Amino acid sequence: MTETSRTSHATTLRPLNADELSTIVGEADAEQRTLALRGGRTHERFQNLGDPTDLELDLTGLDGIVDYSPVDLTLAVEAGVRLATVDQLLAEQGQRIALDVPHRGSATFGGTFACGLSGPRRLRYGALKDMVIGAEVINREGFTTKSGGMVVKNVSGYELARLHYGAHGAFGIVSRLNLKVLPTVESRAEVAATYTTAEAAAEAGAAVLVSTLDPAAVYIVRSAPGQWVLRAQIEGSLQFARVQLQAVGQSLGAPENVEYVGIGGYSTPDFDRVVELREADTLVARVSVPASRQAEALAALDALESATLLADMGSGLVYVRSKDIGPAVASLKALGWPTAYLALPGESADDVDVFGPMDEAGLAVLRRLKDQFDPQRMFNPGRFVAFL
Amino acid sequence: MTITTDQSTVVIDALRAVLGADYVVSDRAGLGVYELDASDEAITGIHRPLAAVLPETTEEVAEVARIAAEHDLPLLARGSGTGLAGGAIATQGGVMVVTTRMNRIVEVNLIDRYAVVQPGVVNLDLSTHLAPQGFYYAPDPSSQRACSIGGNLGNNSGGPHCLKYGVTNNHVLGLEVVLPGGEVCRFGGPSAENPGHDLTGLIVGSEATLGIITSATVRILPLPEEKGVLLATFESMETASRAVSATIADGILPSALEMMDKVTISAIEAGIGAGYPRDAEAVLLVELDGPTQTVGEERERVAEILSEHGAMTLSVAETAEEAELLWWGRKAAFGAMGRLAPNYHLTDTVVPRSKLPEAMQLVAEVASDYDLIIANVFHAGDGNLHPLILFDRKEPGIMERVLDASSVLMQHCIDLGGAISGEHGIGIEKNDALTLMYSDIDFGEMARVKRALDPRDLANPGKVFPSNFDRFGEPLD
Repeated sequence: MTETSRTSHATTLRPLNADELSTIVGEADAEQRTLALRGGRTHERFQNLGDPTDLELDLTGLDGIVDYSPVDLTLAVEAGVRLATVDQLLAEQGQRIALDVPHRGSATFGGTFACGLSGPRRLRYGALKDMVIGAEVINREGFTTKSGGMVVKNVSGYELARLHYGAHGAFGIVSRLNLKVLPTVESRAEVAATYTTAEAAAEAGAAVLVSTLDPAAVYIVRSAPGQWVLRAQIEGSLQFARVQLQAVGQSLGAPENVEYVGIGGYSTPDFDRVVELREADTLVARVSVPASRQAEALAALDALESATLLADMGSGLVYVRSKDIGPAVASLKALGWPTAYLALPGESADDVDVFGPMDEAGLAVLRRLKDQFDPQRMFNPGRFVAFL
Repeated sequence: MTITTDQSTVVIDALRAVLGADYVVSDRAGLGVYELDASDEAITGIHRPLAAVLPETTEEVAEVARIAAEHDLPLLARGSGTGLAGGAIATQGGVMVVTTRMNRIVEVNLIDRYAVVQPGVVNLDLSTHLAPQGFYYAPDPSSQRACSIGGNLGNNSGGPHCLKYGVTNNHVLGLEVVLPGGEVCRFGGPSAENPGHDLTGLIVGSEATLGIITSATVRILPLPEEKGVLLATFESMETASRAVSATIADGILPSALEMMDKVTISAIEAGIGAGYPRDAEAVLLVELDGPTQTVGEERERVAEILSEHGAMTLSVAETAEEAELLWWGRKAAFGAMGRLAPNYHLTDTVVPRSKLPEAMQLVAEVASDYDLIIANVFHAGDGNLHPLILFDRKEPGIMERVLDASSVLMQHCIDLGGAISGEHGIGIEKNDALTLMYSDIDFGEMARVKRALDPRDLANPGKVFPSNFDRFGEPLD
């Protein structure tokens, strides 16, 4: 195991505000030191192994709520703020952020943004990148740079936040995010319909997706080999949920069983379970397969008997979670759809780019961007796409 | 950019060899169309490109880009020419890629909720194409009957419905882009996440300064089952603004929330007679969409909220025809301004929604200070103001006064925590005004993107960046 290279740094620094962070980065640049960036450590397995670094930067000290205007439905947080902190703050005002991310007590906004993670409710609410209306980033010289602002509509030059979303800090350190938030809903519930084939479950999901029904999420989970559960989440007023659940229930074809279940918490529990990345011996893969092709992908993956399978139809993604690393990797390769590994244990991880394949010309652009933003390879060296 | 007659002959011959003579426009009369767009020529000027070309395929665009690069010529993109910020003006000459013939809807996939389109597809044509299948494309700029999706992508355009559905960038899943040297890159794809790093969202809104979009995978949505429209009048813009905030605060997210002031109402009534009460100081139009039963519930609740917040009159559309009638005045508003003055200058700015009452007050003060009539018709739900400064171009010195007033308005909006453009773009109309929002260090970050994708500054040069910012100088150290 070469896992230790991920933490083979001499010193950890924990700045308490953006000014301290700026100073540290500016000095590191001048002294040509390399930096490993850390948030709540919930998703740190989602990166390439990378090179050892001189310093580790723990960003959880940037934990201030900068601005919250309930009437404008806008919020500005420092990068180290935990999701749970915001869940609680917003709930007091009858508001929320509709984002599926597990470990909310630990996960930070900066880390979630840098990893680019969002779950099945992106169907209705978009991903975190769609909620961001502005950002501040510490660049390699240590300067605070900004893009966007605190208004929900803003055309003002390049959308730099979109460069940094999912970039794992490769182009700079996000220190602040401005977000749009939403009013909370009275009711969260789902229809769970069980089928004996992935095809039947996917057919029912497709019928919901092309209808005028208004689900927040539509996905399939395998509850046991040969048992496929289509789940359609409904969020809204009690009355809305009642009518929608009933309408979804009527559109389901001929399932073995149908249940109507309430959903608690701030995320989507099935999703949280499949993307749990803290277990060191477990593989988690995210495969880009459009909804209309997911039935065949699931049928092929059904041979992985002990794996957890979740097909997020609304997002065009299939998640595979397994402890049988070799067979899982072989099945995913045979499947042939583009795959990113959110977690890949074992020695095979040394030379695998966990981010998966990228268009060659697009990758050339990415390299040129890295040369511009971080020519000395200071930020998280070797850990990003193509070991940048 | 200077170019000799011999050089231009060589370039035009090379372009003709790729596209055929019919699709290379280089004569003075033919180029007249491509000298301006829908921006105010008093601000952006009239500039002729060396040639305008009308390719049909990505490969042809790539060939054109290579020819332009070989001769060190600017490479511009133009959709339908409806841009309001001069983004498609050939201020430095060069080769203009006109996407009119790239108008194919390549693929529609309802279950996966995406369509693949060429950039020249007219915005409304996509929704019209999808309607029989019960789907539509949500971003709907006011010019949607004419504007192209490529132009919308370039400007990250909005429209009345972004309150609920978000701006263009929220609806793009993937792009094919021809870089200034002719390389073809692909980013994103039909899934919400794709392996590698997705630069789609960075290209959207870059106004063709990083390359030319030749194909886009866009998100499509099922048509809502029902639409509900309410129209309320108020005794002041301030009470109307408070009603807007109260509606949103109640947890209702209308699909559109549009406001008009007295000047606008009088123009509309003089123009088309939409039946708006002329004594009202403000008209608020609220559209709700979704499942029939939700729309019904929300319509009742919104009616209550508007009444509680001082609505003088309230009309509720019961049928699609009635809804269309309530929208009619709003849609005709810009055209109706001709009843009041021969010309108008539109300042597209944004403020936080809670600052709308203050912003309205400041607009009124600017109108009084500069002795100008300013009409307000705007997307109130997302705080996106559209003050229309009315004037007669023939009046000596008026243009300067109008532009001064517009600058002051932008500054006021920034002071209120807002932005200088909500949806119309920066181009060459507002590139210098961007300095009100950003420092040289901020522009330095944008310049890094520019240098990475367009190291020779060939793609739509002179746009977006402030005129005095040296984006190709030494990196900021």
